[in-house]
Amino acid sequence: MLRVNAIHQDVQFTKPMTAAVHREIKDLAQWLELELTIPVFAT
Amino acid sequence: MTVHRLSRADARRIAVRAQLLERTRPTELLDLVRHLTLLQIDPTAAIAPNADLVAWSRLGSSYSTSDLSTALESRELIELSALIRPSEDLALFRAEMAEWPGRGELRAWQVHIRDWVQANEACRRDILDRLGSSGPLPSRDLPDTCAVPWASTGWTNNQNVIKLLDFMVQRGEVATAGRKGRERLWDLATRVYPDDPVVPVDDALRIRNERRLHALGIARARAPVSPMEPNDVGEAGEPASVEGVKGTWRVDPSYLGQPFSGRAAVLSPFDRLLHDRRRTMELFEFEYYLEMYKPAANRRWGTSRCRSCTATGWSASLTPPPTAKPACFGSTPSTRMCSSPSR
Repeated sequence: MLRVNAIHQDVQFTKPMTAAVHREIKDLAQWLELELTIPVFAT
Repeated sequence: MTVHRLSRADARRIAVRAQLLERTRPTELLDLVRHLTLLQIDPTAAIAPNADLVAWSRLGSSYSTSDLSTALESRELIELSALIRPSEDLALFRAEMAEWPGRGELRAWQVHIRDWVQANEACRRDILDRLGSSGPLPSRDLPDTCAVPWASTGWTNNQNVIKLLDFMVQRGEVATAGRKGRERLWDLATRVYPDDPVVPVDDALRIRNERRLHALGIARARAPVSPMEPNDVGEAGEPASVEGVKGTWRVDPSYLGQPFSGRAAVLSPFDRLLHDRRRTMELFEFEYYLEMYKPAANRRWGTSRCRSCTATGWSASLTPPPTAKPACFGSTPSTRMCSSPSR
């Protein structure tokens, strides 16, 4: 499992930025063949 | 020569583009490594080894770790002092190896290592003989007949064969022929390195500076000595100034005036976009630390803190929680991500 504990935004995310970051993390988990867990507070 | 005047955004875009982190991705591993000039091997691999992460962050999920293994096995890529390089680039290092421990008047540390190797000449010959008859071999299968032990306050204290092998790599006598798990296998350099014509030292240094600048986009002409790979580029490229940053830079002119299209990218903590801490601070206004090697009590952020940013100035960093042993990645844009892999 790839568990993302937190994503800290150094600047406020726009919706496209949020989507792009989550897509990359999802791609990373898929490439690693790991189940991905991103808690709500980390998004 | 005209000094190119760049904004910070310009400089960041050049750095990102040069590291092949634009929206348009490269497609081939060998082309990628030839452009970047190296993939760093690091034992820290909480999520995946650095070399694989750097390749994945550029190539995307079409990249398979077997691609790298295959390229290493076929010797299209070669490991040199914990850096994976295109095999043809070894010709740019061989002349310098022949001059080990350096040209001209030697510094005290160079005299020290030269004398230590000389004092252990018998062991050096034993290692060459063993590798010649039975290589490739792991270091534990090589004889430690050193007359003078290697003294250090660090972990290499009395690691005689390991240290001697390091120096023999620098001398171009032995090479990493592969790995069995994480363990390096050693062999005679003549069996590993391609037999290309050796490039004279001055030409080799110039070419390496040019290629390093092409991989970095923008860099200082001179920088503090950095282990493994320099951060500076000498007189390669053209002079440039960056708005709000003191001093002169060198920029690869092929990146000037080009359109830019960015994307989000998850970066390894050892990624070369942020590897040079000073450049990262000056260009990206990003304070960046790795703290996994610090005693826990001295850590400011946790296991590690990785910061990065995009060409538009978005920052990225990561601060792992104190209770976890997370793998840490800076990512772009504007992200600090703390993650814990488990299988």
